[in-house]
Amino acid sequence: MPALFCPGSAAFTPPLFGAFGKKTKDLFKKKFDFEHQLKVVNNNADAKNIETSVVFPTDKQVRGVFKSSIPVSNLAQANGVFETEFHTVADKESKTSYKFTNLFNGGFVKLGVTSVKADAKNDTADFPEYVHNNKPLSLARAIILSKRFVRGRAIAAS
Amino acid sequence: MFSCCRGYATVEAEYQQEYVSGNASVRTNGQKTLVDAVLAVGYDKLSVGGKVVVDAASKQAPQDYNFGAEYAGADYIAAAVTEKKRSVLSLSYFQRVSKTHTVGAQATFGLVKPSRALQFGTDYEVDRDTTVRASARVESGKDTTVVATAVEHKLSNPRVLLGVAAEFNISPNNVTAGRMGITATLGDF
Repeated sequence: MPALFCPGSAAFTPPLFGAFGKKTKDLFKKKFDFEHQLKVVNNNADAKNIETSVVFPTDKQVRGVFKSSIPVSNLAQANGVFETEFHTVADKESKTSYKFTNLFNGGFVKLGVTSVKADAKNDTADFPEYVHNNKPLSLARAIILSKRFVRGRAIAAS
Repeated sequence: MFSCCRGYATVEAEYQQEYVSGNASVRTNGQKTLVDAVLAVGYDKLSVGGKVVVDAASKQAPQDYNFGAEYAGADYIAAAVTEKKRSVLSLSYFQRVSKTHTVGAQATFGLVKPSRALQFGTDYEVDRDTTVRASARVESGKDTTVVATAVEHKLSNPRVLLGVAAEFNISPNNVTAGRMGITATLGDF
């Protein structure tokens, strides 16, 4: 932890560069949620943290957000935290990662995958996507196609 | 078949010890590989640091590089940081006035394109269950001041954290309502 509000010796751990001035920035950003939202937070005693929200923006489609942080404690040296954040729209960055917290003292190593926010409206999702007949396959289209496939099989079987 | 993803795979390492903290990460999407290196050194409440982002495939100058310093006193924090390839300088100050009250201010100066912005904020804990937060932002070239307020209140039965945030655009002639949002948080907030 950075030595905020801890008067003391000359030796202290500096904050990360990204956290310089963060307390002030948080004062202007945090709690100012200008979108209606319903959130359910679940913090377990064993530090599992799951957060699900539905956001109702006034000018965009309703979106869902899922965040989780699950500690892994039975892998000895590979112990760590599995973290995910998923959004149901492409213009928000979804990510998932595993943080190895037990490899060395004073730090961690994190491996992850991050989507890139869609730049334009109507852009497709940024995760690896399945292409069917040269069209990116959305979840809704995948369901329709799979229903057609199953129906076709059933007719062929009869 | 799977098309190439535009997302990034990342490897990141972070290290924090007395006097030094740092972070290095590599992000790649198959076409572009970005290397971030962040280092801060500190002594006696003063920290100085910088961040550089390099495209591994390019021999050109780093994509982004910034520097900054922060001084963390007993109940205040002052910071000066550059942003966006050193084209913006941001000065910020945070003060804990009392156990329940904090204030902060930030001044932003455009170093390439002349621009200035000033922002004030305050957070006050009215009681154990209620906090009020407000901020105001003034920008050069704009005649409106944006004032934002947020109130959070914890209900005990049912256990819900309610939040209401609203934004107002104040100009010399009139006051117009901006964005607003209502948040309800259930569970272990």
